[in-house]
Amino acid sequence: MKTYLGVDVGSVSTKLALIDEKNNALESLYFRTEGDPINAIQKGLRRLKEKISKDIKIIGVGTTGSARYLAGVVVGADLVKNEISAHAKGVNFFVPEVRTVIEIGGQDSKIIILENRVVVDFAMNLICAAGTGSFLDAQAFRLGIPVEKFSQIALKSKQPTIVGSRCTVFAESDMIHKQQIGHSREDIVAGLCHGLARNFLANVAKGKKISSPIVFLGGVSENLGMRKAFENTLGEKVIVPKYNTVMGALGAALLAKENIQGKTKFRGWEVSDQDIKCTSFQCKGCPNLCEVIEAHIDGKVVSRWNDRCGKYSSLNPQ
Amino acid sequence: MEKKTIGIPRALFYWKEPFFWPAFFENLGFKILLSPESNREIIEKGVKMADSESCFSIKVLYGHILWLEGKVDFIFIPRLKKNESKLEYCPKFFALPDLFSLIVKTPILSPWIDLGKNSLENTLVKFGKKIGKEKKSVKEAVKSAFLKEKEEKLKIKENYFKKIKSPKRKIIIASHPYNLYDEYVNLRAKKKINDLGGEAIFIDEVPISQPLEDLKNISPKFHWEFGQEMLAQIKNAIKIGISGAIEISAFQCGCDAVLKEFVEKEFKQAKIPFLYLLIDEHTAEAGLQTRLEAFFDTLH
Repeated sequence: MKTYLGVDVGSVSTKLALIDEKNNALESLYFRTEGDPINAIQKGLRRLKEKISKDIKIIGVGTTGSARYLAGVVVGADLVKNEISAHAKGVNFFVPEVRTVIEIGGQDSKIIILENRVVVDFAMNLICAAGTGSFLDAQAFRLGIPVEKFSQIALKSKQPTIVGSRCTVFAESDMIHKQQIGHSREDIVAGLCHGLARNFLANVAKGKKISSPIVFLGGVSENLGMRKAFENTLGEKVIVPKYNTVMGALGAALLAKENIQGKTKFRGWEVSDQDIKCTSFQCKGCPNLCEVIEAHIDGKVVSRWNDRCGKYSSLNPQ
Repeated sequence: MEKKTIGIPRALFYWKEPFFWPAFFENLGFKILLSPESNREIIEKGVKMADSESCFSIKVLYGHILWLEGKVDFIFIPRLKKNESKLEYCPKFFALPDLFSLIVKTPILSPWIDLGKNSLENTLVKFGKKIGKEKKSVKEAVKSAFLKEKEEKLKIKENYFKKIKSPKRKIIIASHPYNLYDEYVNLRAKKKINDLGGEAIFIDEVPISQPLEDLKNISPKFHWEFGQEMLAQIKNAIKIGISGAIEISAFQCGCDAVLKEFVEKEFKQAKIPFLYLLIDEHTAEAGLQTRLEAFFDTLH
């Protein structure tokens, strides 16, 4: 069977998805990047291979996410696409009626506005990472609750306490204060979810027209407390659709399928077993002192990037 | 007698009149040392020294002035108060000479520019007296510096008319000149836009059709000079048929916090896709690239 692979490597989690020629989602994976995107990609491919039948052949690959260029080099991508367009593509196909997409990942959050299945506006958190998954992660750790349990605890709350939502640094001290004066854990966790929802709407979604149907995607959408917080704040139903955490990977696979020309650049399943690593060095050619990244596969330099002037990246094989 | 050197920081106010000031001082017989284009070293120096309340653009200026310190006889930092339409410059511009007199040992040259009260020529004649230059030579220097500026601006204008005929997707970048022309600061936004197949046009390249005095009639009324100009330019830019607009603001710019809403409204009313970007010393090129790529995908 001929299939297309989508790889979405984010700051916190890595997602892989496989679609067939009729755009059916065959298989998907979601797991933590654990600070090592190359290893995560290799691990993901290994797991994917175990899950699928032997006759499956990959004839196109798309990568997305903040490590999309790196992932593209490692896997051998036919298409590298930004995560906003990839999510929009996935949503458009799998939840076609959608008007508003709220996506909250590990270190970024975005809103996408669609009209007649076309993206007309979007925003991503600017220089502030308040209100993203990493913050929830950190607070869950501090409260001694696994983040996966956040949902059930938050949903128990009858009176979510008010946690300052402007900045997560203050939200944290606010939260500690609430805990010290005797608020229950449920109310604090629920209050935190409401704070994050308000923060998202006040910063990322500022000035955007939010119309139903609204879908909620990304790792944080797994958290029912967050979904409820958005519903309460917006006064609208918020849908968490199937494939909510792997929509970007599915979108990348769909885009690869649409755009592929000729033979795939996919480097094969053996990618998992190759010795792939990145090193960096500081170019001293000018006062900018760029930190150039160099990717090695089995000891050979395959790509270089992150130089402002293109002195090294221009040497890359096309 | 050996010529004295005046250092001009290649930041902030410099970009408002990049041709006038160097020409003016050269005509008066000074040597000019312009700080280099922004680079990591300069920005890091600035960020380290600047107070945390300052906007990113002022931090960049700190870096350039610190680079000049010790290399020149004088540093030029004008005190900008009001333009010819009696609209004020950002209050931070007004206080710059005082701020930097506390920071550098090099004497600062600082004409007080309030064009609502005095013409630039009169202002500079008065300033010339302080630095021992005669009225006649100052007047001549002003005149030929104006000519130089006119000449350079004509080139920009010609280039603009070439650009608006381009079949590529025209993208307006709205920002202050010190963000638009400093490639390190704006993370080469123009190059990135052109690489994505667009034709980047800076808002300050767009001509203002009405005389400057009439800008006062543009509503809403802004307290600051650039707001009024930019809105007039946006209205003209929309007429030439653009595919998208991007506004770039420096972090902690108080004036932009107000201006942004109006800029966005102008473009959105004209149904032009709009992207807002905030820059500071931590902004990474990857983040900008992601947003620009996604933005291009929304253009139809």
